[in-house]
Amino acid sequence: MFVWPALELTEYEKKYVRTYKDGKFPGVLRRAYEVTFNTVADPLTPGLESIKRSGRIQIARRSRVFALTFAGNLGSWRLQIETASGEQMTPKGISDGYPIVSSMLAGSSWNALAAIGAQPAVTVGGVSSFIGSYQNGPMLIDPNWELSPNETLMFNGEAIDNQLVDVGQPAVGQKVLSIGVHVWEFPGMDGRSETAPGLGCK
Amino acid sequence: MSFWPRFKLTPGEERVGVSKYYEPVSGKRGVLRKVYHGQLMLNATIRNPVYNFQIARRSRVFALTASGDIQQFRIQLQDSSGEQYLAQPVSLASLLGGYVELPPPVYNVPVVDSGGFPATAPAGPQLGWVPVQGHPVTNSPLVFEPNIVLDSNQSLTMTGYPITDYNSINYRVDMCIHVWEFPAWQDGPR
Repeated sequence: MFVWPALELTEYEKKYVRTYKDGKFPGVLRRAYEVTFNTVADPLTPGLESIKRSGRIQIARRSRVFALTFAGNLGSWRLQIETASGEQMTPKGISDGYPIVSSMLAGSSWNALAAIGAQPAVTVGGVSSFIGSYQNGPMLIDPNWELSPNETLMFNGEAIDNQLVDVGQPAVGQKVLSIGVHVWEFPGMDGRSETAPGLGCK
Repeated sequence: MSFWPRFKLTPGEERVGVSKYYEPVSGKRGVLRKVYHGQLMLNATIRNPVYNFQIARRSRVFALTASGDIQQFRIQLQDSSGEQYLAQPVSLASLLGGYVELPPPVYNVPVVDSGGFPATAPAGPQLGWVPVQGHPVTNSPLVFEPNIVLDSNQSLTMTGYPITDYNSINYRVDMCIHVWEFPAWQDGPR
């Protein structure tokens, strides 16, 4: 069984918000954002109309990212996550690329670069299928990733394909990845610093 | 019950001015949860692939996840001081748990009821043996509790070993170590 984490406010946050709104303080909002990657434009499918290998979330309120969830061809995408300040949350390996999404999670261990462990090549209507894919719960982020108001969290994807890796060609076929970004948003908190100019809290 | 551990500061970390989250008033710096990637390749010539994780900041490794040909590898984890975190090379499939089967003990011979792959038709001559049936699944990350503590720039080495004696193709496993990094501790323990 999997349990989503409960919000725990820091002493600093308790100066500005409560878990639930009361007479004096605003409550914290639990929201979700989506980032989608797609290697082949599909005009008939909402959200996949164009090729996308990068995405970002930018939230006006100060927020904390506490979980990521994934759907799609998890074994066919490398994922870079980077804050606007340049902090790499999924750093590149010494001799290879960014982490493959399926290797970051529990669940189906399909990996497009593997031999036996590669996902069977099944195509339905021109789209590589997700048959047999399964995820065992979200990837929790604790401590959460703190985002100042309007700070950007960037997601960059790189599609991989076993058949073409050896000859150094880009992946072909439609590979999609949908990332759910789960956040807590803190109304009334303008920034992380009480003293820095422009980042003062109300 | 979540299988991802929640972060807790040790008394020693509190003493050196680390906080779980950045504290604007005291100026204490927070802790970063990150994912580092590595991969091992195994074939007829590379019998013991090695991958080094090295992080500039002091860090704590709390979990390991993987995907790919998990069932083909045994692994050993060792830090640069020589400490080994597995008593002997252990099969990655058994460390991660879940529906990830071990290959048959005899090359290209389907074995039933002995922990090997189900007796199905071979996928093709290039594989050399019967394929996985169903789909390989890991139940949860391999959690290290207490965590593996790495000082600044101390490396953690993962060495792979083959499950079987002969490999005709490239087996590959991609791994991630999940760490807590301490930006306030970049210069090593005080």
